[in-house]
Amino acid sequence: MRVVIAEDSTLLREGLTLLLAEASFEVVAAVEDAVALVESVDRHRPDVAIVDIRMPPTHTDEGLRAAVALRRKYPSTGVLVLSQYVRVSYAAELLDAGADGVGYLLKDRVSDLAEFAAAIRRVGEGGSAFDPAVVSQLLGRRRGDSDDRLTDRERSVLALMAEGRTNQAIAQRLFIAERTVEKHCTGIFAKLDLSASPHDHRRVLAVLRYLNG
Amino acid sequence: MLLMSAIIAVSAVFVIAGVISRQAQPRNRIGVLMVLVGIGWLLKFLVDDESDFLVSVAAKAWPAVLGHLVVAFPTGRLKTVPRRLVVTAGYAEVVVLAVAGSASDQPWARAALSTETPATALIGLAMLCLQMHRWTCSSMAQRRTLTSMLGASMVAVIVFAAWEPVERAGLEPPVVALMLALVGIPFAYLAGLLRRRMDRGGVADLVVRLNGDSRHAGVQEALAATLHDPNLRVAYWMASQERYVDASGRPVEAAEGFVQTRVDRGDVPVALLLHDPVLDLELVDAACAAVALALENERLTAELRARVRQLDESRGKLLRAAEFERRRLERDLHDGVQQRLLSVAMTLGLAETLVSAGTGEGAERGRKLVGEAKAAVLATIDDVRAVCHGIHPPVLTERGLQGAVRELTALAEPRVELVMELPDPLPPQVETTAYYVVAEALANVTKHAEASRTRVGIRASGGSLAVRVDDDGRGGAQARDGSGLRGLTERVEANGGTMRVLSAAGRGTSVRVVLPCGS
Repeated sequence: MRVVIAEDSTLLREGLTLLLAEASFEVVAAVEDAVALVESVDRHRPDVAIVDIRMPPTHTDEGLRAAVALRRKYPSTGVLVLSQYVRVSYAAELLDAGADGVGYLLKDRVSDLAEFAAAIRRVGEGGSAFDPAVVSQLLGRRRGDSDDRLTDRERSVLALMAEGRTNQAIAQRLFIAERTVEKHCTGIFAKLDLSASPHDHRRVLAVLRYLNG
Repeated sequence: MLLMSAIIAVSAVFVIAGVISRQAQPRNRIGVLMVLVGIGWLLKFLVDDESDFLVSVAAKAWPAVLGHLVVAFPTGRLKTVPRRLVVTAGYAEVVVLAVAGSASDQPWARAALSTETPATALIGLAMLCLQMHRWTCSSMAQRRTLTSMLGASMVAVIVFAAWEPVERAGLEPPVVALMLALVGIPFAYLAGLLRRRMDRGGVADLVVRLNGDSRHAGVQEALAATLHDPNLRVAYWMASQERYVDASGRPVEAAEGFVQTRVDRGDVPVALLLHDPVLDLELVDAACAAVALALENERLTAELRARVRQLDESRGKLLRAAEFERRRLERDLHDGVQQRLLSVAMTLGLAETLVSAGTGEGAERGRKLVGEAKAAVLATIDDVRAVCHGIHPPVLTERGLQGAVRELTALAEPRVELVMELPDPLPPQVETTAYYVVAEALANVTKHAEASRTRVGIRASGGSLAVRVDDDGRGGAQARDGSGLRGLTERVEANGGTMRVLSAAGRGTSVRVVLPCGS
């Protein structure tokens, strides 16, 4: 899988390059600002662009803006945004153009190579990967509702779904059978009034529908 | 006989006005000119054509002297080149006509004599134009002196210039009209002198007026009214800053077109009057002496205001510096410590993966140690993140107030109705304060209010930012010492703003903050 990295800290950029090579990714470019990122995506058309949010020249949100622009310009290129902090509003902006091939992770996740590599692969294959911290913030907001439609178990399945995980991965996490996960999914979709549509899409839609009440 | 006594009366009015003027203002030449006009006017009727050449010139010269008087009013000096030219032209006409008159059989003299009427009209018109121009360029105070005199002289010049053409047309204009027009000039002049006297009487009223009026800036208004100079300004001496400031404490610069009169008490400067140059300096001095005490009071008030302003400015500077430092610190931590820790975590993660491939007790212990080290680094990263948030909310750095407030309200419970009107970028310390207001108020709503609806409004207009957080919860919130609301109030006030908390029991809570955000 071909990857472009945009990260202004040299230490992290080189570290990521090494790490991804170790996990058998092909790093076709590693750049340090948003302009160079867009140029190298134009040139290399990678499967995934890994983007830091704060980059030169203003060190504010140029990475996020570049990520949103890339998703519009190259819908088939996955975009994985990395940040020191998780922001619900950033996730919402990234999901604005749909839930395919997009991810948003806390930078801490690079310390677990297997998980991190899996997240990049999911995004590269058109799936999604959202940080558990983002998901728990999102779902945490709804916890106060008394007339909640979902059961506790359904909510934990939904949380893992929101992170972008497959049924198989969810089953492993919750120590339940994959068939049971499927049953919960059907229950969630039904409760949230989601009819059949492309599978992955419906999973993230479920999360959004749930969050937006 | 009646006509002759009227002629003598006109002459007498000019001479008397001249003498009075001379006594009131010994250095002013207007009085001399006035006496000369009176004598010349009389000569005109006493002297006949066969008289001595010089005497006949003198008899014919009075209109030119009158023109001189009008143009030179009120100082008696001809200050500009056009004024000098037009007065010289008047005298030249008299001489040329007198010479031509004594040699009237010559053809050149006849030609010269035939130009008398147009030349007189032209010079008269030029004088009128000069005076009109002068009036339009004058300040309010100058106009007060000029208007009556200009009006009278305009009537006189028009009547005089029109005299001959009317005569030639066969009509017989009554000499009385000319005399009345002429006599208006000394009367207007005397009226001006009288008014000066009355203005001095006004100084006494000034003291009375100031005693009954304690409003600030009252001294400047009272002086402007008494001295009839609406543009008059008072500047107060600020010993600590060694400069003059206005009543609100702002520094005063010297301005063009103003004369400065200093007011002292003993050897100590009290104030500076910036006024129109045309004002009577004796009158200004009298007025200053009368209001010296009030000026000293006002000066003390102005000094206080200037100090407060200075304090405000230095507090603002400190706040901006602190804000800048906090932002810098947050960025340094983000770019330095956090990235380094992340790279350590990443390396440990990689090591963990590699060690996991091995077998045996050593590999197992190695994997465990690496895992512990990684967990410790990740915990440290979390700590640094929390510290950064306390120093300066990173979301504010990344998205500004709009994005930061959206993030706050996106997660708030109950749901928030958000209205933001922020057309222009705000100063950083205002953004930060507004952010903390919204964050603290929303946290209180979630913790205590049991509300079903929350509304956040942020509006910038007219140099201030209004932040408002309302809920429909149980109310009863109080800003006690040590509470979040108390700390918030201090933060807002340190930024020169105001905060009100309306929270009647059972009727919801409304936190209203106004922050100045002018540059």
